[in-house]
Amino acid sequence: MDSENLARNRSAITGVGYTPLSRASGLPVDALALNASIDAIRDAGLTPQDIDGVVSYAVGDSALVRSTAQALGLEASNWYVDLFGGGSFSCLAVANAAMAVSVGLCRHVLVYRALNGRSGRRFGRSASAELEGVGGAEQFTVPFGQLAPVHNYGMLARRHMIEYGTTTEQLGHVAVTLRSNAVENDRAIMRHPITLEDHRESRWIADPFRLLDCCQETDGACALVVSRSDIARDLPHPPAYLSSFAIGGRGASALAPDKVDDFTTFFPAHIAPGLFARAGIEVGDIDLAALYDAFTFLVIGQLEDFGFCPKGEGGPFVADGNIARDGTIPVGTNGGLLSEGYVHGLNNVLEAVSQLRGKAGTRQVDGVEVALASGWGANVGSALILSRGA
Amino acid sequence: MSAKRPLPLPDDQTREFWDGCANQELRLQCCEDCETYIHQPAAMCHACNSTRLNWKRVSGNGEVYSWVVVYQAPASYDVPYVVGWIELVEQPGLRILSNVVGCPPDQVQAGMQVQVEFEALADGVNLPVFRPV
Repeated sequence: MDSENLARNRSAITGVGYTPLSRASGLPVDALALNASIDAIRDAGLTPQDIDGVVSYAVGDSALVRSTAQALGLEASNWYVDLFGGGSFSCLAVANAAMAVSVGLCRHVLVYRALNGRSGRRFGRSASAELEGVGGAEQFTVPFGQLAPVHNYGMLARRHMIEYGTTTEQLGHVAVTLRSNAVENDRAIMRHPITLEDHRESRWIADPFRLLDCCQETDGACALVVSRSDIARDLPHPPAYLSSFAIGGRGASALAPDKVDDFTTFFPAHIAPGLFARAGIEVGDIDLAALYDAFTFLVIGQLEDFGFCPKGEGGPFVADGNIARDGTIPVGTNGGLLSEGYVHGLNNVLEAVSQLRGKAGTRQVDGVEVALASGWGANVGSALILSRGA
Repeated sequence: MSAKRPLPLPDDQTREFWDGCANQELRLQCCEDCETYIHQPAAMCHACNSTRLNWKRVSGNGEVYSWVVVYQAPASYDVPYVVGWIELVEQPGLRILSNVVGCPPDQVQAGMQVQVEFEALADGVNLPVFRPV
């Protein structure tokens, strides 16, 4: 595999910004986007006049880049990109900014995701289910009651249980571990500790997933700034260098189940070798994994296919404490999408940056030099390798 | 289940499937060149890239590959219900999303042998669902 990576460490995340995360923001998505964006720009020690590119992703539920850029008063505009996509795009949006910076198009690119995911358009609720008729791919899913991501991913979890003996209790370990991190995070929506018994007693949403296997429908926004590395070194925070990135893969989804061999090989199996090679690392070099965790099982599937544990052993791996803050590979140190909130994955990228800076407070993991972040939707996913040293 | 669920809206690529269901037949797209079955219907064979695709009736026999038991859904769906992937006998990996009916949800098992039957969703609109044999 060709591991030459012209973009390696040529850009870095220099600023991060948040709005409060809640179930009812009381604000339009445009305001959320602006508030998180100005927070990130100021965190980077910059002003809107320094920003010359903007990237966002949405599924028809957010503020358009052109509107946000104008409302922020940006002057330069070399790279304005609205991506249409969901969970698989969280790291793609950052990668897109990194490439614009790496080729010299931009000096500082703003990336944001803003949504009213609870008070506005909800992912857990299928609008199509309320229609009289459905076309396209949905004609083969909605009439049968396959309506939401919880159903799609539940099928993958079930098959993993069939093939490898993964248990609902092992899913519970993911929920409990990530919640214990959220307890230390004053931004998190869910901060009360939970036990395996709480998980076991929470109601079924779609067996094998209980309520506590599902992420938090959230109102809020996150933003970050990707800067050229030579400029980044003079900004207030230690840069989180973008060492490599990827989006792709193949695997099971609701759309093409007859076009994959199985339901238990996921996107990281396809992108991880190149991702790691282009960063010049091996899986053992990764100190922290900000894995996309819309549902508990997704952590287990990614741990296996990124190579943190052998295939099929993700369940015992999480039950043995490996993903805790003091474990072999801490996951979801912010509480993840499961407990901090669901800003469509971008909040997990921001947590990786905070950890690399050493500014994660009481949930700080010691000595984070290299972090992995990921996003996952349908049969593809995106990922970043972030490094404290260039 | 309630008849108020959304109806499939067939298009040129999918009409043969739904016409088959209306006639109590499970018909799937099949490649004329390499004889690979394709579901959901596509514009091109994923095995050989041929665009010469036709339709064949299949047996409707298969086994349960994966499933979820849905406990929370809009009122037009009667919970709990089983939605899952059925692997058909005609070809390894040939899977169709459907409901498993005629069986308590907690009795569904991987590899359970099932056979297609047709459930009327509206006048002239049948859903292919699967019952343990």
